[in-house]
Order: sequence, then structure tokens, then C-alpha cells
Amino acid sequence: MKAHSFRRPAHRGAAAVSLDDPQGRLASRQQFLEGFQSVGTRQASRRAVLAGLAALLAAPVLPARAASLRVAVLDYALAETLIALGLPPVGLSNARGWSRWVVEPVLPAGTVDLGIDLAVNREVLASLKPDLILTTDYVAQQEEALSVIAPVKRLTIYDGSAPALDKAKAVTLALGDMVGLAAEASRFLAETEADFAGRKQRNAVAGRRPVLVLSFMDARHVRVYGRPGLAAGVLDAIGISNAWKPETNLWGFETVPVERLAQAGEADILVLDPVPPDALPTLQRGPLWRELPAVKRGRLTVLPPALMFGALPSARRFARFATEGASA
Amino acid sequence: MSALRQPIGPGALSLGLLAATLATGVLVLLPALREAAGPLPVAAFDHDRMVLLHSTLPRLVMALLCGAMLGLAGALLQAALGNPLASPTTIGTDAGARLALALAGLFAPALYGWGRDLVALAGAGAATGLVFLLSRRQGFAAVSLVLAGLVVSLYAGALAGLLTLVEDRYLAGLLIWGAGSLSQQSWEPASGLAIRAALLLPLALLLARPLQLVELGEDAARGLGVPAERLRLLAIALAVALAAFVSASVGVIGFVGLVAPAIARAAGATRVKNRLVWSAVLGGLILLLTDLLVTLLAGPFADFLPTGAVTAVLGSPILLWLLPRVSRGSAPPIKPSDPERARRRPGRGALVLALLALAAFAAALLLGHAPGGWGLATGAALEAVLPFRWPRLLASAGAGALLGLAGLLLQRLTANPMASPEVVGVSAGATFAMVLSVFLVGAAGAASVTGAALLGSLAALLLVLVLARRSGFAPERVLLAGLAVNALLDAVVVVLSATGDPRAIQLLGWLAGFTANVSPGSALVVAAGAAVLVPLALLLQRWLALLPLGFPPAAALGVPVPAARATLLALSGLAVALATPVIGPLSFVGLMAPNIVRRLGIQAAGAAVLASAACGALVLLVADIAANALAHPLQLPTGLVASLVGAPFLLWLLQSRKAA
Amino acid sequence: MPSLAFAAAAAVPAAPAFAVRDLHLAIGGRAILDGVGFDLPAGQVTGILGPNGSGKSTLLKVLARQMQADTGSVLFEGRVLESWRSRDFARRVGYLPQQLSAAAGLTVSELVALGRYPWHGALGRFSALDAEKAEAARRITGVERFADRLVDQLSGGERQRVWIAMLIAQDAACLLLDEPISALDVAVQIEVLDLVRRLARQEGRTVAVVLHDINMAARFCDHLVALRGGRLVADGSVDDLVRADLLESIYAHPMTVIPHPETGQRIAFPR
Repeated sequence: MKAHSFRRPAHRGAAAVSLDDPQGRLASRQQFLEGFQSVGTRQASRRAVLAGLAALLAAPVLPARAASLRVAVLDYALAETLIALGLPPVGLSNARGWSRWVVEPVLPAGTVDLGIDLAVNREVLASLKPDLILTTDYVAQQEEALSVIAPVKRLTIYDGSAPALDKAKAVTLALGDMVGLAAEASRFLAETEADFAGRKQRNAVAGRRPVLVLSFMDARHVRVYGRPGLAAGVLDAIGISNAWKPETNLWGFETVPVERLAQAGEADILVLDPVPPDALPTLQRGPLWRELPAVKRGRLTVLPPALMFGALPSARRFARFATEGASA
Repeated sequence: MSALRQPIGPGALSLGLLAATLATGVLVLLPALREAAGPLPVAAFDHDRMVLLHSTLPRLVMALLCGAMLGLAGALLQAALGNPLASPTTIGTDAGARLALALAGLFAPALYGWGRDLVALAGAGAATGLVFLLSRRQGFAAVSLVLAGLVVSLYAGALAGLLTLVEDRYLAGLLIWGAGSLSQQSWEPASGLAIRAALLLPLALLLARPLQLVELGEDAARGLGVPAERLRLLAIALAVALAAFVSASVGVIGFVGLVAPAIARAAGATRVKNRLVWSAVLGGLILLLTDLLVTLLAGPFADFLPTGAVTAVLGSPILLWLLPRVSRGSAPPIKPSDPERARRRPGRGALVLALLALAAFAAALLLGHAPGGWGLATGAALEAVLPFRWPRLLASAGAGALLGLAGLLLQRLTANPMASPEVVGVSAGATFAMVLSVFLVGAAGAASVTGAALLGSLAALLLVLVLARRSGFAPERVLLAGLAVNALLDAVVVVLSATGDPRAIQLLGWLAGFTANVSPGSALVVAAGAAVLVPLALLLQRWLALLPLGFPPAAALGVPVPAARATLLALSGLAVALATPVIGPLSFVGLMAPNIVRRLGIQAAGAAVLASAACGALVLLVADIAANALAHPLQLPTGLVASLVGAPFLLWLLQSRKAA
Repeated sequence: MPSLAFAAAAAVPAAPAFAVRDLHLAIGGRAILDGVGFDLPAGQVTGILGPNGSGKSTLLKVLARQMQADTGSVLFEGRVLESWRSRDFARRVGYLPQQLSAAAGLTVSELVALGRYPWHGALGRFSALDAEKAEAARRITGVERFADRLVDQLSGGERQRVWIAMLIAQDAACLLLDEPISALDVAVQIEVLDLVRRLARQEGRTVAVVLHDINMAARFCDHLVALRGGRLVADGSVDDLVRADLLESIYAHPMTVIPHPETGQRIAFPR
């Protein structure tokens, strides 16, 4: 256990798997795997974008034999969406890091690790005899090599074309169409939106303070999450004000020195695990950190890991933590 | 003041810098100061005042302190080695500390205080020692020392790169550390570093006078009763400690240790003691000014920009400025080569190497992880995996041959066994272009990236050729120009990575050299390149035999020396340009292969060309087999595996003396 | 005085090998050569003398086409230096620089064979004639017995002979040697210069050699040229030059000249 005195809740079930990971920083693999082009993002009419993107991305090429479709994925966000749709991937790159960064939904034990996503093991991949291989912009340079094994489709959430949550919704629908699970995708999307709406109502009643969501890089630097990222989108959707106002990069974070947090004033602080073990004790020895309102009044919460660069399942996981605290 | 021999003088220069620093400081601090001077706010938490007192002010002190320590470290190194290019950045000290801290972050992340210092010290000391071992043969000549420093730095970087790729959750933290951020949240680190500086500074000043004598030359100093060897060692140890302490508290701040002593010297501080003092003063002011300017120009809402990365970007061109000042008279003294006999039949050695490479190729085609386990694939199973294996192996073999060839050409051209394609800047040019294509254009396809790499390396080659043309393509100039290009690339990569941009890991992927999913097309291009360029080099073997004799004898025999040099340089550049997109800039095969061939006694130019190409192919094929077997199903990057396995071997080769 | 008689006999040359006229060369504003002009007699050993910084090495480099003069002309065998194709020139003129590379990794016979480059070029075949010439060069210079050793493991004198062997293999009619005996001990100095003189006498080659030691020059050269501050201050036979007053003006130090007690050859030393 940690020496410092912040609230660190106990956990149950699979969600707790990574909690005792003694090391680690918040740099999730997924943070690096998503997105490719740095295109400026402007909030457009959300619904229009959603519909348009879904139509663009879908291009249903495969017959609707979803139950038997074997899909290999080079991306966590697409993998978690597939699991939510009831079609777990047969192979996933970096599968070994899942329990550390994604945690939920649980990756079925049968999912084969395809190796490093920058150079997935084609011999292993071919032996799985996939019907479809899903990539993102980020691993696109392998598409030519992969296409000798199975048809390759690319779906990217973090490409800057729309705020992450909106794009995640569009990609969910597109993916559903692609694998013949359009109905499931629509249902899952509706379920997610209903979940967010419910939380928004409860939060409005409870009257929540603004929050600052961050990950520690080391004892002096943090990542703060903001628009157009997934976390910021979720906070909007569930009616909690994000204390970090500046627009961030297209993955929705900004790396800042800790002292910059002072400008967020009275906001509560949500820290995502894993936290480098020396970070909080080191900061605790300096007045600057101790005097932050959230720290001083014990309103800093360390949350279990949630993929900040994921799709709707990760968004719901974070929404749960943000509403109900770490014990959710 | 006796030190002032020129009109400017370090004192006046420091005053000027101080004025600039104060002006910038006022600009940066004015809002906060005005706030602090106003009436005390009623609210309990005054965040501006807190930030001013516990972040901004300690940061200023930290900048001053770190700059001074680095300036002093650089001046000490330069005096001890009699080498104006020496600095913690250029001789591998920084890179060693960075790697050690990265390892500590992985295995003992809770370290702080003296624990971190010890880790940084160990890494810095080990890397510096390695550089000395490598350049000992050349008598620590300026260029050789810096070349060895670059090789060790690149190697440490490669090691950290592999760690990052496999254990990438640490990536962001490591990268920030590597880039040296001065941001502070309390006075604790600054006061801790001040204590360390206070312990070391008097020692450095005590060394000043005897070091002055050592500058006369080791023998002369010994004649005057100064234990030169021990003194040098002490000065170097001191410098390493200073740099390591800085690295441990704020990360790597590049080039301040090179720039401050250079400016102090240029401003007229000629005696050792003056150089030490003024280097510290100037170093402190330079870093403080840089930090203030970064704060001022970047503004509070700009992307995160570590100051250490900025000094590196600004500082690497200084290397270029310094080069003309050292290249004359810094030619390594002629040393007897290793007491090994040249082979009577070098052609046979080359043939054996080629056969070995062929055998490795065949073995790698057949051997591998099959669904049933590791083993030989035959029949249908082989047919199933062949399409995945042959492009990978062909690309590895081709790239290895090209790099082996390029390395041999460059080593012959420069008569320096530490020369390699990695250090002429051509690899860096290729990487640079790939970075640009991804970060600016957003290119995604393999074809566009390869095209960019080719363009980039050709551009770098052209640049080096133009820079070196005035000197008749003097080999040292070529190496040094490449060195500066490399340093600049490294700095830019560090900046891009430190922002936490997820594309940085893709960049790391290229640097690492994944061959696994090379397209058949690229594999064929690389192999064809090797098949054309190696025979072409064979045609020119007479030049390769004559050019190492130096300009006058070669010219006296009627060799058109500048044209011959330019041709061979272009040939090696083309080879690197073809190989880099596949294997990345860090494989060190271009350094290893020619040295192995030399140690095997294959000296005749023609045989050496063949043997070096074959040896390069062999090394990369073996690395490829290892990369695929070590961590199944992970396919590790072949380029990095080659350098990790090969570099220690190379070191052993360069050091071991074969019994005559 | 047999040597003097010999020198006198040889001093009736036909056309000079090199005709040097009014050479000027400045580096960084400092005149290195300042109006140098003389004839280098064919078939003789000419010593180039002068104190440090007098321009003697530079002069040799200009003759060897390693450097270009700012103004003035040099004719080699009646043709302007610039008009020679570099390989043709290399077939006629061999040059031995003062600073020799370590020739790391080359065996003696390999280095000597490199001297055939002007004849076969970058792409030509190494013919039987090339092999023969290289072998002859090794024999003449007496390096045959260590032909298979690495050059960088030889002693200074041996290495100097190997480099001269390379020049011989080059088959050049004219050899330009820049301080070939500096840093060698006396016995080896004599051995090397003896070889040089033999090459001129027996094979009719022209030699120009930069030397520091006036007495060595007097002993082995037929003709002497002296420079001071980039200007030619003396040009003539050994007898003409080895005179106290002239030497004093060359070296700016009082000199004494006395006959050698045994050979009778004139020897000079500073007073």
C-alpha cells in the first residue's frame, strides 16, 4: 500500500486486477496508438457529424455472418467496442497490456496476442485465419503486408476530425455495420447515451464541483485531460464541469508542470492510476501542492485505470468513476 | 583583470548577458510581482503568490545553478582533455545518466535524493569510461573522442528506446526526463543541488592551477612534477559528477556544457582558472536566459516545451561553428595498428562470410515459431509462412550488406575506424524526413514514408557534400558535419517526444528498425540496391586502397582525389539511404561489419568490400533470427537487437589485442 | 676530391627537368614564395635547403602539383605544369610527402603495388608488367625481405624505403622527396640518401629532395638550391654553396666551414 493518505478505495472483481500494479505511469500504450493526423477540431453539429461519419466509415463489405466472423484488431478502442458488441476479437496486438490499461471489459482468455502493434506477428495472425483485420491510421503502414492475410479495414477515432466521444460513437456504428452487428451497435449506443443522461440528471441534483482529471508522468509533470478528448466529452455528457478550460491536443490531453494546476482553483482532482510511486510523496513535501484546495481539503481521488484513448466502453467506465468515485 | 586580452572579455560579456537576463526576468515576473506587491487578498489560497514563491523563484535558481554546474563541467573536461569539443553532451556523459535514470525508473521508481544521484553517477561514469576506452587508441584526439561519444550516446539511446517500446507505459516520463524540464514545485531540489555544487566547486578551483600545466602536455606536466594522469582523471570525475547531479535533479540539459566554455574562451578567458570561473558564470546566465525566454515566448498556454530540449536544438549548431576551429591539427596521430597479420588469401575469408550469410538466410527461412512450437517448417507449413519470412529476411540481408558497404567506404575514406553511416548524418537525414512527413504532412502509407526517407538522406548527403566541398571533401570535415546534423536531429526528436505526442512512439518504431512487416516491394528494392552498389564499389577498389594513404600520396599517383572522395561518399550515402527506411538509423551494422572484417585480417580493398557487405548481411540476419525468437509472439525490432547484441561485441573487438 | 669532380662532370645537363619562373604564393596575406625562379637539372640530385618557414616544402608541393602558385610558371619537360593530365604527370613525377600515413593494414608489397596506379588506372588490369615493375622496385630498394609484413609495423627507416619503393614502382623519371630523413637516426639517414643517390646515378632519374642538414645535402647532392623567407638566395653546385658567408646569410647565424679531416669534403657547423 502507498504511504500517502489519499483515499484509495478497495475494488472488486476484474476491475481491480491492475490496482496493485506497483509501478507504472499513466502513459498508456493506447495513448500512443490512436490517431494520426493533427487536424484542428471544431465542434460541429454533433448529430450531423455522427450520421455523416458513420455513413462514410461503414461500407459494409462482409456478409452478415457475424457470429462466425473472425476479426483481428490492432487497436484497444476497436477491440473493446467489438467485445461490447458481443464479437470478441480472435487476435489483438499488445493483448498482454490489456489488464493494465483497459481492464474492462474483460478480454476473453482465448484472444491471441499478436505482438507489438508496430510490427504484428503475421505468422501468428495468419494462423488465426481471420476474416477481417482492423487497423487505425497509426498502424497503417503495415496494411499492405497485412492485406495478404485478410481484408484490412481502417477505423480511427483519434484523427482530429471530431471530438473523441462523438467520433467513438460514429466508429461504433460503423464497426457494427462492418461486421454485420448494426442492430447491436445501435442498441449499445442508445444504452450508453441513456446511461450518460441518467448520470447527468443525478449530478444536476447532487450539484457537483468542477473536476480536474489528470495522470502523473513523474513527480513534476502531469497530463491534464480536456477538450476534445474522451474524458472531457464524458464530463460534458454527464453534467460535470471540467475545470481545465484550454483546448488540448487531438488526443485530449496536455502535458503541464504541476504548478499550472494552481490555476484551476477550487476544483476537485481526479487522478487516474497508475501513479508513479514517488510522485505524491515528493509533492506532499512542497507547500505549493499541499496548499492546492483539492489537496488541502482531501478532495483528491485516485481512480482505477481507465483508458483515456478508448471508445464507448472506456467512456462508460470513466463516467462511472467520475460520478460515483473510485468505488464504483 | 589579467584575463582580459581581448576587447570584449568574459566579464563584460557576462554583464551584458546579466542585463538581458534581468530584462527578460522582469518581463516574465512582472505580473506576479505586481500581484504580490498589492494588498493581501482575503481568500485563503492565493495561487499566484504560491506559484511565484514555490515554483517560479526556485526554477530561476535552479536554472542558474544547473547552467553553472554544466558550464563548469564542460570547462573541466575541455581543460583535462585539451579538447575544445569535450562536454558532458558530446562525450556521452549525459546519455549515460539518462539511460541509468531510465533503468532506475523501471526497476526502482521510488528513488529520490542521493539515490537518484548515485544512479545518474553510475550511468554517467560508465558511459564516459566507455567513450575513453573507445578513443584511447586515437590518443583522445578531438574528433575521435566526439565520434566515440556520439556512438555511445546513440547506443544508450537505442537501449532506452527498446525499453520504451517494450515497456512503454514509462515512455512519457522518460522522455520528459530526457528532455530536461526545469519546472519546480518546491525549494527542496534547488537546495539539494546547491549543497552538491558547494561540495564540488572548491575542488574544481583547486584543480585549476595544476590543470594549466597539464594543458602544456602530459610529459611537460610530469616534468614539472604534476601527476598528469591522476589529475586528469580527477578533473574528469569531477565533471562527470557535476553533470550527473544536474541530470538527476532536472534531466538532461544538452549543450550548455559545450557552449559556455566555448564562449568564455572566445571572449578571452584563456587561463584555466578564468575559463572555469567564467564558464560557470556564463553557463548559469545562458541557461537562465534561455529558460526565461522559453517561458516568455512559449506563453502560459502553449504546448509543453522542456528547456533542456530547447538548449539542445539551439546548441547543436554551435558544434558546427566550433568545428573549423578544431579540425586543423586535430588529426589523430599515427598509431601502429593492431599487431595482426594481413591474411594471405583475403578473398577466401570474404567467401566464407558470404557463405555464412547465405546459410543464415536459409536457416531463418526454415526455422521459426510454428503453431506446434519452435522448429523447422517443411512442406505445407513452410509454404504458409514463406510469404511472411522472405521479404523480412531479404530486406535484412540487403540492408545489412548496404550498411556494411557504406561503413567500409566511410572508414576507408576517413581512415578512421570509428566512422560509420550512423555518424555521417545520412541516417539522421532519412529519419528527419520521415519525422517531417508524419508530423507535418500526416503521411501514413509505407510508400510515402520510404520516399521521404530516400529524399531526406539524399538531401543530407548533398548538404554534407556541399559543406565539405571547400575542404576537398576532407574526411574529418565530412564526419564533423554529419555529427552536427545528428545532434540536431536528436534534439528535435527529443522535443517532439517530450510533448507526449503519441506519434512519437511511431517515430521510435522507425528508429528501432522493425523488419517484420516490410513489404515485398521494399525488400526487393533494398536487395537490388545491394546487388548494384556492391559490384560498383568493387570496380572502385583501387581508389579505396589509395585514399587511406592521405591526400598527397594519392594525388601524386594521379588519383583525382576530390572527385574520388565525392564519388565514394555518394555511393555510401546512397547505400545508407536505401537501408535506413528498413532497418532504422541505430543498427550500428555499418560500424560493426568493417571492423569485424578488419580484425579477421581481410585488408585488401576488393576482398574487404565483399567481406564487409557479407558480414553486414550476416549480422542483420542473425539479429533478425534473434529478434523473432527471443520474445515470441513479439517480433522485436531487428535494428535495435543488432545494435544491442553487436555493440558489446564490437567493443570487445576494438579492445582485445590478438596475440601476435 | 672525387665527389666534387663527379659533381662537376654531371653539371653539364641538357634541358632542365623543371623550369621554375617567378613563383609567388601567399597564404593568409603572408608571402610563402616570393619570386622564386630556377632550373632543376635533369638526371641529378638537387637538394633544397633553407631554415624553417623558408618555403622549401611549399616549393616542392608546387612542383608536385599538390599546391598551386598564385602567379609565375613551372614547366616540366618543357610543358606547363597545368597542361599535364594527372595520370600522365604521375607516370613522370613521383612525390613523397613529409607526413606519411600509417598505411594501416597494408603489406609492403601491397603498398609498393599501389605505385602502379598511374599506369593501370582505376579500372585497368594489374598486368604482368605491373607486377614485374613492382617486384623490381622492391628489389632495388631492398625491401624484398619484408615484403609480406605490414607497413605500420616497420621501423622508420624501413618504412621510408618502402615508400620510396612505391615511387620507384611508379616508374617516374623524377622524384620529389620532402624531408625523407627527418626523424631517422644517422646511419639510417645515410642509408636512405645513399639509395636516393644510387637511383639517380644508376638509372638517370632526376631527384629533388628537401633537407635540413647542410652536411648531408653536401654529401649526397649534386646541386643545391637555398631559400630564405620565400626568396631564392642561392642556386649552384655544392662548392658554390658551402661557403661560410653564404650559409650565414641563409641561416642568419654565423657559420664555419672546414674540410673534413678524412674525406676532405667541406663541412659546415654553426659557430
